[in-house]
Amino acid sequence: MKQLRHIYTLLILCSCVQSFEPKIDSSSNPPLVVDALLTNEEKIHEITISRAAGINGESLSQTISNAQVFIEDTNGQRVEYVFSNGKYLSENSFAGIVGNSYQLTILLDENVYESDFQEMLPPKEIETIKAEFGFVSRESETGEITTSPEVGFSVDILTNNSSPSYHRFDWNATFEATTPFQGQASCWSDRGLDPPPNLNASLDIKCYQTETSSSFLRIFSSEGLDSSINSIEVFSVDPHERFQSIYSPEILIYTLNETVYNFWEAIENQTTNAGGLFDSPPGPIIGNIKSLTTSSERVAGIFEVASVSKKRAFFRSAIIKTTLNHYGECTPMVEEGPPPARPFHCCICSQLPNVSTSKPEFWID
Amino acid sequence: MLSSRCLYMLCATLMISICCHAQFENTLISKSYQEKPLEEVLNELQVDLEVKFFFKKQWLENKFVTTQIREKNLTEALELILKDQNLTYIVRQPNYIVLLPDTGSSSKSITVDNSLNGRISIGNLNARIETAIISGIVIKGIDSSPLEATIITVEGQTDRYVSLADGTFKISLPVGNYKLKFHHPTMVDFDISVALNSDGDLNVKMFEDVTVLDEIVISAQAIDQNISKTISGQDIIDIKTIKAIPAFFGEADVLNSVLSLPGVSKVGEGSSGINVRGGGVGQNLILVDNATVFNPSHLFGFFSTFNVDAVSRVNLYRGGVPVEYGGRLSSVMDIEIKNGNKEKLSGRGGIGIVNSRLMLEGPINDSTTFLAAIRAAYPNYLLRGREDEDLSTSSSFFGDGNLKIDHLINSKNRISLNGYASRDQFDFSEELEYEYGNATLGLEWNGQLSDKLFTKTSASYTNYNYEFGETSDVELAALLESEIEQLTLNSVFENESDEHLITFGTSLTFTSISPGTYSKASEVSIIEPLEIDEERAFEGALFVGDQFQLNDQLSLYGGIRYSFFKGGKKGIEEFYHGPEPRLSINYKASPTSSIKLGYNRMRQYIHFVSNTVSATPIDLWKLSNDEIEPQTADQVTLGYFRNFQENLFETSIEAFYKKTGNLIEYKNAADLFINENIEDELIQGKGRAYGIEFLMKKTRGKLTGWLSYTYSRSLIQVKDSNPANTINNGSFFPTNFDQPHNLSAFSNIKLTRRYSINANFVYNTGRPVSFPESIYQIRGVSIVDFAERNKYRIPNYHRLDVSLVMNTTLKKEKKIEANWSFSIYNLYGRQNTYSVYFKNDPITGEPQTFRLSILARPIFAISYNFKF
Repeated sequence: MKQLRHIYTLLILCSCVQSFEPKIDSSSNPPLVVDALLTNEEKIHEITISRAAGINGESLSQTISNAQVFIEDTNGQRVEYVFSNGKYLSENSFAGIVGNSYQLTILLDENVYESDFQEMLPPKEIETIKAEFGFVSRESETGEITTSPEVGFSVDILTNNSSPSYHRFDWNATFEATTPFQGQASCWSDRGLDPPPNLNASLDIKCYQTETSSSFLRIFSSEGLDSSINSIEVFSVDPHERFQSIYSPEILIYTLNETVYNFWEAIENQTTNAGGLFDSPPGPIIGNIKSLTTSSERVAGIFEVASVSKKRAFFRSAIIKTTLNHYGECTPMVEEGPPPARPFHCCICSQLPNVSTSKPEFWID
Repeated sequence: MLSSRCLYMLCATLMISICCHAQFENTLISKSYQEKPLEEVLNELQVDLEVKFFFKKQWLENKFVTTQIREKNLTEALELILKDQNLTYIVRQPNYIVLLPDTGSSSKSITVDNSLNGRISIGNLNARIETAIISGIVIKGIDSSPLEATIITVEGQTDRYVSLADGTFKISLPVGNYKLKFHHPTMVDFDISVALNSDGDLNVKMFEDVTVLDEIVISAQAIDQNISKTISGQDIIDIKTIKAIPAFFGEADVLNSVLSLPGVSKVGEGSSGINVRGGGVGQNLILVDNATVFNPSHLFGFFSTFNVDAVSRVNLYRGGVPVEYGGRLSSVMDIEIKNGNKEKLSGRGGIGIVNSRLMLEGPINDSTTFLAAIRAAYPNYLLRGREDEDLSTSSSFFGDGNLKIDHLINSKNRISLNGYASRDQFDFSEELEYEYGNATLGLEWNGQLSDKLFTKTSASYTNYNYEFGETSDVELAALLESEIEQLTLNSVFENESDEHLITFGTSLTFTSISPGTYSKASEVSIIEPLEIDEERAFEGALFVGDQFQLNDQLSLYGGIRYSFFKGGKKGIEEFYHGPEPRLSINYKASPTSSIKLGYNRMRQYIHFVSNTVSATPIDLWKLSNDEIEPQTADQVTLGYFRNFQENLFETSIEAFYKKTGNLIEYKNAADLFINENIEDELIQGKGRAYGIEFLMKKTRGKLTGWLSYTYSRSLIQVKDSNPANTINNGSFFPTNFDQPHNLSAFSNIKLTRRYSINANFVYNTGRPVSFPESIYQIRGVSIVDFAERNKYRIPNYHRLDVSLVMNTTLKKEKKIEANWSFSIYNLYGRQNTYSVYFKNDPITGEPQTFRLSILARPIFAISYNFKF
């Protein structure tokens, strides 16, 4: 139906989209929200339990700290979770076992919430990670269309035609961050400040900046596909700053059961709604947790049981087929008057966010 | 000189075995003619007597007058002048005289309307009988097609006679002198005095108009049929009304025109289908000459698929539904295609901004006529002019065509063959393609089996199919094809007696649905082909109904339809059956007012499966089966109808309450696309709709139009043993098309004979929508929580459209009549909210609220319409 939305947009030549602030009553009884993920990784697993925030912002999300939480498998093996720093953490480091099914139980006040048993399916390996350079056009708010370079990353996975598989992706990436005025004092002198004493030493350091996916949702199902190899576009980035030398993405692939996949698919549909009459009317997104005490009480969120595998790749700047202007904010174009003072990170890369000056273990030169 | 068409219209009202004895003022004439051309003689008389003769020139060619007239009045003088000229005449008050060819047979034609000061004689004067029967047929003068439901009354008597589907009627009266009144809702009334001597034939032609230039908009209702008709909630919309209503891109539209009727609405601008009295789009049965049309929309709903030039009239049953109709819960829209013009080749057409149309009709031989119509759109130039590359590389086409051949076998039997097809095609930026279309083929026989028994038997085939292709990614290139076919045999019999009109018959329908074949659209495509099992069913019905007049004040219509269904999806077929009683009572409280009470039960075995707000071309039709029970509806209506000033104003107030069962709803996040187990995504609920409708209409004069207001609600309740499938805690909640307040006003102002202005205003409550009341995050993704379905509404909707129609010429003798229509849709550029939606910001990930408006500025259109 997404395609129909495009056609419809085409048809309504006299259309306009405006920001809108409808009068909505914030829910007087916001649903309990459970964000739980159990993987086959050996680690301390986390669960977040809260009450949803009011849509108008007058009531914030309330973390639930007094619940009794545990996960149990079909063999009766139970792992208790304890509340710490806003999250429920498993008592011990442990890994979910592929083939086992797990159930989440939450005891809160006098209510019992429980998920269905969720099976952990075998992980799927990423065969290759590919990068592709190109240009994309975007329309600004003023209607102006601009073209900018972009690098897209995709993965190849093997699938079995007779048994569809369901996946969710996540990613993080590390790249060398070399700012254009590394070791120079201008970032401070322009402000009338003294440069830091160790500025010269910064000439010898290398920065490795890491970025992680945020508000990111990419899912894939091989259902209905007749191919043993599937190439899936996962994410894309603006190559500026990132492709000075090497860009190293790590892509995680979660293998989900169908219930969990359907949950994420419903979220994807909702968050990309274009508002056409050909869109399905939105509704509550139903997860796999329900209240045993009050059947009419709806629980938002999901107990996601998924196996995960990950793969890292390295791409050099040679794949970029255009000239990039890294850190353009360090050499601003000014029509009149003196240029603004350069940001500090233009002179010392460690001022950049999420930067490490230690070379990551996985790094290659 | 009056044009031949006008003359034809004037003279063509009656054909019978009669003598005409027109009487005229006793102005005495004394003249002497010797081989004087007849035309000159008449011209002289025109000058001398201040009368006006109308005739065709060719009738007077080579005719000369030689006679002596001494102190004769005009009537006597004309007898002498026209003697042996094979001409007769009729007189219209005050001083118009129409000459007519005199065939010399007992079936020659004469007179026109109740201005005739003469009497026609029926039967043999020497017959010595007490009671005689007038038999005859009422036909349209313009194309000789039979006129059903013409009401014939005898002055001074309370009995009413009605012409049947094939136009025939019978009146039994004691011999004597009578004045007969003929009335049809879309024709001009006339009276005729008869001297009934013995049994005889009276064949009547009626015309929409008796003047060429002052075409009038004839009311959709009969002069007093809103009061006298037993069944309430039936609207007859004539084509002039449809054409008068200002339309999107200037294209007169059948579906949009019915939106101005009370109780009829749609969910949004450009949406497909209509909602009638709180019912869904799929609950309307749309028939074109007896064949079902599954998708009545071009271009996603901006236009309907019916060419108004080919349409004779539209019957919309939204309240009481006669027993011969069934299969849908909310309404029946019966669209009749015109019969071809029996007299001559003629046509109509129009050229517009988006599409053009042409209709030709005419005689094939004395007893056979044809009608062919085609409409084609050319929106591509609008797309090519767009800067957006996606738009400029897209293409579109839509069109439709009609063909009808009508053959009069004899005076008692008529058959017609009709075909209809529509097609839509859209290619979006060479990435996406879709095509869909309807096709119907029908054969209809109207026969008189005995003096009182008539039949209308039809066989029809319907096909609706679509293809949906996606080729943007060659590896995922896919083609979806779906088809629905229906074969229907209907046989309706009518038996008329003094007080009863009994209708009975049977309806048999075989339906085959191919829900979807999903295949690769490129050689390298990796999609997995899939074919969903075909569904088949047999649906039938037996019905009988009786309309009878208990007394002068009380008339009843009662009947029952018993429907049955066998079939469905393979493996879960089911057999369903049940009665569908229908009852209407009309109490005529006074000559100008009536109270009507009605009850209907309807059953629907085929379901429209769509979980979008508006219907789409690729929505599914699904048959009942073991898991999907038939939908049912019980509707009660009560109305008061009152006319004022000799039916100049019609008013009505009507309330309805409808209770529905097994309505189709969708589970949250239902996936209907290529789903082999679609039953798992559906859930059935209960519905109730109620409302009150007001209508005030001005039927004649320079200003005509109507004002309608409806307050109604449409609610649904969905409960399930699985709480996750229960919606809104199992309470009744508004349907997507629940719009409580609905106001519609239409007016036509005839400024001069050349210019007229039309205006159309609509207002309705915004449709229900779901808004989130809370927000949460899962794995960093912000999710708004839509707790209650349809708790809120989009802003209210209102719009004003206007049009100016300019006739190109007022000459009497013109080969082509034409007009220019200038229209503005959404005159004041109201940015009506089409939808409100929530979308996560691509950078921050936070949800934002947007309002989408479409057709949000005035849209000017011009069209040229002609007929010849």
